[in-house]
Amino acid sequence: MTTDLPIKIEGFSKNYGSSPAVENLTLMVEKGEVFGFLGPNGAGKSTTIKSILNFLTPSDGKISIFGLDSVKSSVEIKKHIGYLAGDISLYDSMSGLQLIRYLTRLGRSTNWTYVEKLAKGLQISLEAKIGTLSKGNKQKIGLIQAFMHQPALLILDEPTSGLDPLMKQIFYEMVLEMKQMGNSIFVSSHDLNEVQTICDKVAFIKSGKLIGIENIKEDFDFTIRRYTVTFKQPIDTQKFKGINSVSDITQNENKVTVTVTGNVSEFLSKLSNLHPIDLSEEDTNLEDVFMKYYEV
Amino acid sequence: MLNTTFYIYLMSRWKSIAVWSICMFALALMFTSLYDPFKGEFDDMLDNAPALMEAMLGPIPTDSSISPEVWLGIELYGLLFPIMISVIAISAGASAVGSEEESGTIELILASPISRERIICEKSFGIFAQLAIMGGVLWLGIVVGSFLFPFDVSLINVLSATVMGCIFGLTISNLTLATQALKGRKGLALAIGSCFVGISYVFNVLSGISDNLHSLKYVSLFNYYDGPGVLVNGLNTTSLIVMVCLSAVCFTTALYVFKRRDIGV
Repeated sequence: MTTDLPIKIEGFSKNYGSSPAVENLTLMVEKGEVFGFLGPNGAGKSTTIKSILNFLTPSDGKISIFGLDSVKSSVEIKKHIGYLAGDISLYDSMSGLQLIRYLTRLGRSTNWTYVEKLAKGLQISLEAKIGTLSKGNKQKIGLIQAFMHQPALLILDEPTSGLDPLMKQIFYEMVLEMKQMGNSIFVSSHDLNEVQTICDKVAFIKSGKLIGIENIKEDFDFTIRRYTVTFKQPIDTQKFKGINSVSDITQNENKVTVTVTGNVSEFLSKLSNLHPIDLSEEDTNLEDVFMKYYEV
Repeated sequence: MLNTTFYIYLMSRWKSIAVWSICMFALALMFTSLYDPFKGEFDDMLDNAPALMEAMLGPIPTDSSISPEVWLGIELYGLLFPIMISVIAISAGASAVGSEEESGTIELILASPISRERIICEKSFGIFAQLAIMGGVLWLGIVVGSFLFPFDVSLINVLSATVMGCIFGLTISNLTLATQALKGRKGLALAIGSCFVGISYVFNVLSGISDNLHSLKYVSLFNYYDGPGVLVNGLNTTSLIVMVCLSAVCFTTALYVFKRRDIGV
């Protein structure tokens, strides 16, 4: 490792034939940072992750991992990386323990005490054949193989897919522990709560282009909510128009749907004067939040 | 060697290796046991239709009856053994990396500090070990058969023919491996490997039928394998070198293209 900078991507592009998958992507992940990498399906997240790992060769630009070129120094780099694929495939005929032994033999410096701790925390037996495990339990084995050597850089693609809420919480603790050790985590996720819980910084990518990077712990407000309010009878929606935080107002007879960005107090204060009979909040999609935030 | 890609490859195929090995051993015992009862009938055919037999078996010394070497050449090493080895080699070459790419487990290996060259080396070495085990079992079966039945064969020549068969298989598997490494498609590699063996066999047959087509034998891998010839005349070093060189070219191609190809697209 020649620098402390876990990931430095400069002008990275990747084309499949003549169609670009990622265009001119530039970003950096700092030491000890949990970096969220978000975007809709087909945005270029997996292409970027696979290029960091040298599964794919960049068409243009440069990717450096700890100061080493991702293509030329791929083998050296992977000593310091743990990777969990989005749709992880494991050897069904092996047990979890056999898989970890195999990966250790391939050059990973496994911390066996830590492996036992992870298995205990995630409540998974390493003795069972992987082929007999449920999707969630396979995901736990996938997490263990990614964390088992306490890598300086973890690259996780949809890490909590298939995990129940309790296991998600344990995963968040695992991430926090790695972060406290000064290790960095590059995580792709669709889960808004997960991103808000674990990430320090978030990049959003769409159609292969970087839309923005935000420091969510400090200055990025994810609180974009969509409410449906029911009144006894149709009301004049002009009454909401003076509120800066309210937008996208639609009305369907006595139901009004609005989007509230940031602080909701002014909206709720005005709403209480209109005597609503019901108020419901819709699920907010992460992509919608970013689309709204960047107005793209 | 434990827990290396080589070892894991062999372990993942142990059932197939075991079944094929049992078949090889059984075939060896069967043909060594059948030699004595059928030798007389072959000698009669040789007396009654020498031209036909020579066309089938190639040049036969006038003073000889069917020897154990010729018998093995007709029954086992002429077609059955190379076809069995071809089937195993094509399947192994196409699936050694191809199955891991299809299932996605290749990403586990590629995410580890191991070079792509080492992956190809260990897989190819694994295939060769698989072929060598089967060839070794076949030879062992003939050795056992030669003790159990009246079958006085040159075990050195049998070993030489078996080695040629294994190198023949390795060449085919490396060609198939190179095709899979180039395009990342197991099905295509299976098709190319099968076509190569089929065309190679047809060329070898055609080259023996007509003088005009005689030169086709130089592009047929079966010509260089020539198990029946090796059984009678011993190892042909030139043919061995040609097959080893061909195998090395295919292996180097596999290394080169696999290192540069996008994986997991």
